[in-house]
Amino acid sequence: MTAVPAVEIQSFGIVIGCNEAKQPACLILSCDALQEGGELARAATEAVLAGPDLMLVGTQGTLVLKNVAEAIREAALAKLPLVVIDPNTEHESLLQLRHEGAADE
Amino acid sequence: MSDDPAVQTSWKSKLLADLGIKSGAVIEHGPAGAKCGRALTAALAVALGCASPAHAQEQANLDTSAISTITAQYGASVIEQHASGDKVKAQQETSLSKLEIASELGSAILDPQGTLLKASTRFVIGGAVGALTDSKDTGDQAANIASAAIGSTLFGPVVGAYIIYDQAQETYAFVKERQQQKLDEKLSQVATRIERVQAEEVMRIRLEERQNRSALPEDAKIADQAALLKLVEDFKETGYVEPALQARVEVEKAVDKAGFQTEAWYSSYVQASSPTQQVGSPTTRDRFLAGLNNLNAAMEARDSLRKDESATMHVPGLR
Repeated sequence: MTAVPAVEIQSFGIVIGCNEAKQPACLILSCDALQEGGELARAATEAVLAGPDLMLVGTQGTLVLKNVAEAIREAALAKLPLVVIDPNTEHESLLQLRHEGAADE
Repeated sequence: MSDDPAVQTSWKSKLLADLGIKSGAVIEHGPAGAKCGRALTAALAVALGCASPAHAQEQANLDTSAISTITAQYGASVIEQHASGDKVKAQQETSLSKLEIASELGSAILDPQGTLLKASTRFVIGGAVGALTDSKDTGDQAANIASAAIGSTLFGPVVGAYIIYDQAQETYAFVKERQQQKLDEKLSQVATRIERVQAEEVMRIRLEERQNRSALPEDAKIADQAALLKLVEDFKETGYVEPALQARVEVEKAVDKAGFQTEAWYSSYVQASSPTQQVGSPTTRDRFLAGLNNLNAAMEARDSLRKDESATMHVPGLR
């Protein structure tokens, strides 16, 4: 809708972070563990699961992680938060994961 | 380990600490997913405070046997050499000292939290190793260090499907849920099938019984018909279908539908039930009103009888 750029990437890594009880507690992305678009991930303010893709939406643009694994989709549907980290800049942010089909709460 | 000053000075993710993250399962996507996975593992190790580059440097004089320890521990036996692109460069850049550093990095990841890499090895998903893209992100250094010792052993054999480890059922709620959903779905399908088979079988048995009835002696048949007609009469009066009648009705319906001759009582039942269907719900009310009328009539009759009786009784008494 807006003119912000959208970058689509096929290669990336996501961590399902588990707590002490080994239960999945969040998803974790590192800005340097993406094919490209680390700065978009860093500036993202919202994470949206749209079909098989995970979109990180921010003011600087949208980063689309194409075809995320089923486990990630399930984690998103279970409303686990997404933590974006960047050890190089010591940045970290917590994004609420939203399912595009679901009603906004 | 956590008392090590080198670790304490490094950055740690407060968010992950607040969320109580102790371990992680790295899921790799795409053709360069292996490289991303290594970078992510290294970043996560730093973010969880398991390791830092500074810490790794200080441990550079570690015995190289740590590599074999890690390798043996996780059953990975081959350090793969990849013949394409940046991976070769990454391998070439990996000096022995880097291997040693990296092996310690691997140990550092393993030691304090214990499960980080264990989980990683078990949840690897994604594309093939190799075909790595060049990234200018400084995280590459950490990725290369990690790849030298752990990447090629733990992330080497990347497969395109889930590798769910043996304890998944205990630890991975999503897997359990998915299995349960599939199981429920299957069970509901089976349940529907069982119901259908049950209904068919019941009908088959009833038809068989009908067949047997037709072979009964004539007087037994007459008695049976009479019993059925009695049930139909009861139904006419009360509107209640006895289970015994219901079973026979279902059989005769099926017989009728198939175009065969029904038993004699059935036509009586059809007559009794068809007005009910046509008129619909008022029949109950009608029946009630009819009953009420009958009751009133009976009351009146009794009253008039009483009057007569009183007359006949009183008159002689007074006289």
